[in-house]
Amino acid sequence: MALIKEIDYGTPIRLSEKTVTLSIDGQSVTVPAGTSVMAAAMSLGTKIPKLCATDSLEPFGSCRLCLVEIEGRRGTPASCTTPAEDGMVVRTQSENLSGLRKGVMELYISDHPLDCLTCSANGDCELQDMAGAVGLREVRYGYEGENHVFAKTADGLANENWLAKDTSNPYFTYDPSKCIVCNRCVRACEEVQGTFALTIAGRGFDSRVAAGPTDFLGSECVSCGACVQACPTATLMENKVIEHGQPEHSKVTTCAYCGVGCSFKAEMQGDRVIRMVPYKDGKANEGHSCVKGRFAWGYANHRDRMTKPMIRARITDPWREVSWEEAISHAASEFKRIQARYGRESVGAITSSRCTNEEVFLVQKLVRAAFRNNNVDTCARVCHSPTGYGLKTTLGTSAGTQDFKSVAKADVILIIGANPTDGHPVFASRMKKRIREGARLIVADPRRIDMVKSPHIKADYHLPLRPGTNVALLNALGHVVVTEGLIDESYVRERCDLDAFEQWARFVAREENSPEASEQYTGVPAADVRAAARLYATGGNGAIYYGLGVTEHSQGSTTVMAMANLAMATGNIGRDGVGINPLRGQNNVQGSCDMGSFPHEFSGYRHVADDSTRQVFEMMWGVPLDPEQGLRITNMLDEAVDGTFKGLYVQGEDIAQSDPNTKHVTAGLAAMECVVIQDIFLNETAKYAHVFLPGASFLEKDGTFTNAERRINRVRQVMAPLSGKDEWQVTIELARALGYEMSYAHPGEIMDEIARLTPSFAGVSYDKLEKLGSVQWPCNEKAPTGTPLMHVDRFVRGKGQFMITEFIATDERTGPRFPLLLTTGRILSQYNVGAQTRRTENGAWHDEDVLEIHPFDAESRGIRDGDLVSLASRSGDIALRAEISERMQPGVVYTTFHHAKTGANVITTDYSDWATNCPEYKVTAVEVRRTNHYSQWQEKNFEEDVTLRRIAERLPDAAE
Amino acid sequence: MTEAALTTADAGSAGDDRKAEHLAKLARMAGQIADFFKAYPDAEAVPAVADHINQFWTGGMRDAFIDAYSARPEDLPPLLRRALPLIRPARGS
Ligand code: SF4
Ligand code: SF4
Ligand code: SF4
Ligand code: FES
Repeated sequence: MALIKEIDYGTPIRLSEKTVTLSIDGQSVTVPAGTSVMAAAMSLGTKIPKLCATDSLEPFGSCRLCLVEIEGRRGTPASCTTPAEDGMVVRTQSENLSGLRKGVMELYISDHPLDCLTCSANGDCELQDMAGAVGLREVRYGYEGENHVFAKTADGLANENWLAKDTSNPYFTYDPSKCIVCNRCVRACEEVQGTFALTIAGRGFDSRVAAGPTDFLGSECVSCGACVQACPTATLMENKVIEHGQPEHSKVTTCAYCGVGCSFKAEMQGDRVIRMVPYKDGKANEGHSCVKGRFAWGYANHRDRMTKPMIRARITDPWREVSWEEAISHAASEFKRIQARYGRESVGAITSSRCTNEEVFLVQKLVRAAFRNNNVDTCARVCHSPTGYGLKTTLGTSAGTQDFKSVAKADVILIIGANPTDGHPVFASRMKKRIREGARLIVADPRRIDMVKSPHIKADYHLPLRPGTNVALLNALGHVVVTEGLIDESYVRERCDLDAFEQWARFVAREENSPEASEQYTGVPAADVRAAARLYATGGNGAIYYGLGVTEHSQGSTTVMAMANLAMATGNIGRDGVGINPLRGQNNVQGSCDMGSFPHEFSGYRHVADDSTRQVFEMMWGVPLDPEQGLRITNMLDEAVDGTFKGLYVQGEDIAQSDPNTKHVTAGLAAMECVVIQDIFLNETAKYAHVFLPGASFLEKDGTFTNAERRINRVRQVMAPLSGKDEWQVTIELARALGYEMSYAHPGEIMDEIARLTPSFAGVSYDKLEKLGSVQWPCNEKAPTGTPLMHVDRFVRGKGQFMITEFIATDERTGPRFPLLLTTGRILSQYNVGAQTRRTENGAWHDEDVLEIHPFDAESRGIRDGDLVSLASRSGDIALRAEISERMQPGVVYTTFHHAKTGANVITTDYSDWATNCPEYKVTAVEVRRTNHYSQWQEKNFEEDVTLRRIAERLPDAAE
Repeated sequence: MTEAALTTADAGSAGDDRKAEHLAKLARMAGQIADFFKAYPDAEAVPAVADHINQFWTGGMRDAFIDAYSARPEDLPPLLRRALPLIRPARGS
């Protein structure tokens, strides 16, 4: 297997209906209008020498290496900045050109170190390649003149032009002595990433790339890596390449962090990953990445990785390493014993959004066919279950309506309860690009997130609502649309259920839903709400993007339906550039839902009580299946505390850290008699486990992930599982030990079964994924290559269904004891419970959870920046450091839950969404005080980090 | 096995407390569901509430709820009270 190299056309591929035909070196070529001469030549396979051009960036025309001759034109124009025209006759080689190019290269090389043999880019350097391509044989200027190369001048004095390396970023190094000032990095940071962290300081010979104000780590840089990819030399280089040398082979796989689902080339030496480089042909990311996928994969080989199966009788016993056979047969016999004693319903499983579709499918199959109940749930319960319910009710399908690319056609973007620059960075870059092109922006969020204002981005309206009032705000937007006559009447008449529409319109038009009336709840000035509604309804293509700030509320499902109402009423569903799009948290949260992880649904969202569906599964699986839906995670824990639920198989989840009201969760876990954990680390939940089955990281897996745009991407194994077994194999063996036979030779065969059983996946196979790269479901006979846009001519459910969405304030209220509202979220460099990112260098950006608090609230409590403060709710209390921040509004505080030791979920309550029981993470009434000690829970937890994690014959520090 | 059958084994007041807490939770959840549908006319709301519970609650949860409130429906908010007879007991119980 070789290193995968995408073709670099030098300038971006243009889309145009018009084509032009020209002749290059005597060959005729036809390209879309707007294509550069350089890209036209490359489409014939002719590489014109170049340094400052690369096809991820707009042409710049600074290096003058790409000169060509064009008949009828004077001089030698740069081919990267010259558009191809009809009838043009181009020559890319001549004596004259060759002389000019040599001259250019000579100048570059005279101010460049000649240490090619020991350079980290050796083997992958465009400067070296170009010197070769133009046939550079001598450098007449000599190397002794003014230069940026040597720290000292010939006479031993310090060279003022020389700059030391910047090694502040933990993942890459900037070595200014090798810079050719081609500007690619600066443009990548602007055009691709949209952060504008880099500039060229100085002019002429003095010009240097600068990450202001100090160094890379101290700058705005978010470590996305775009500049490193763009750099043609060793100036910006991954530290791993500096350390190990160039990779020799690669495989395309999918990032295992967020729901964007970026494609990467895992570039390897043997079975060692050297670097992850975003893959240009990956449809979700088109060659871009964020710090997590690009750099934060070192956890896969972290010393905390657990690779041996272990068991113990009680959670206070030390773990005992055992063989796979012993661990699996022990788990199976425990489940059998429990079911015999407490009944069939007393055990269940939780599937993981971080595992592949195939692995998830097998776990839910094990529950339904081997446990013979439907007690299976997934962590989507605690994030996007309201999306499933709300979109299915209104539109007929439990997923987002668009592909990511669609945002490039949006005219008005409405972001609600999402923080894309932190949560979904690569998609945020696309969105920012569109906004720089002129799309308008409305942000509804309690905090002033980066999208509200950052370089070259400014929201037209920021609606800083009080946490918990989403429905009131959306109804107010709907009120304006209805009462000001902004309905897209022909769309509604043609595509929606009219009775339901009229019912909704009457409801939303009521005075109590007006912006003026709801201001008392939302705190958002009515005039802004009116203006935002008008903009969304009349500004062209309106696209809604939302996140957990919508779903994780008592009225999460209501909010999703309210957004669907608004989009239908304004005709904003069913074409490019519009839609309602959940930004899904975890890499495979869409997939785990699709795969039948919910207790009431088989794969493809079909209710277990539906006889005809169930019969198909019964026939394929050869056992009778339970027609009664099973328990949700929250119900499992309630029943565990209640004493009726006794055994749980947890696949790659950490509910003791991620789920709300930690004390309730751990009480439930502690009450169980057999908890089986399949994970790569001894996580928080494993403290309560009796069987530990070591899992595999995404680098060790074959399978598929489905991202937030319903795109099924392949995950490819680049190294063997450290535990010696594939995770899906372990599930099969557990099922067998429980007396239910499953047999598959390869995950591809599991996908074949999924396709046979699931109409929306009927056309999916590994063969097809190999050919097409990826497909978006539904993929079946009607749509053999998948479905980028949904609901195009009609809604999946038939007529769009408007729902009445009355605002009902959550029971979680502030009062004298708990006067502030806590809302929770995440940040760019850490991911979810942090189990992976905490075990990488990403701690350089965020090494603890802090409490963001408005200066006003801080001052009235005598809190200064950096103080240890106690954060208390009716559920519990913890201590953490305060960070005073104007991003907050007074009365609202914010924290993340990336660090287990903080225990942010000790604070959150067990209130949940009315329809799906998705927990209300986003609203908790709290009080904040200065303190000088950690909370009781934290002290106990520190202690249990050791006592509940002992492994026999190992020193206690082997775990976290 | 139903909820009721199991919890009787848990004699003593700790068990009763847990059971009461569990029921209170179910009642709260049912109340939230009714709150959503109460914006609709009764003819739609009553079956919608029952249907939601029938679709998403386990048989055990439904039985526990029916057992507890059939005897004292007046403890439930009006819409829930009217939906109670439409809530299906667990299959086979
Ligand atoms: S890593 Fe990304 S954000 Fe940082 S300077 Fe490079 S392009 Fe800009
Ligand atoms: S750092 Fe690299 S990409 Fe940036 S100007 Fe220098 S050589 Fe070009
Ligand atoms: S974390 Fe998300 S945005 Fe970042 S590389 Fe992975 S999939 Fe892409
Ligand atoms: S590649 Fe065209 S000027 Fe540099």
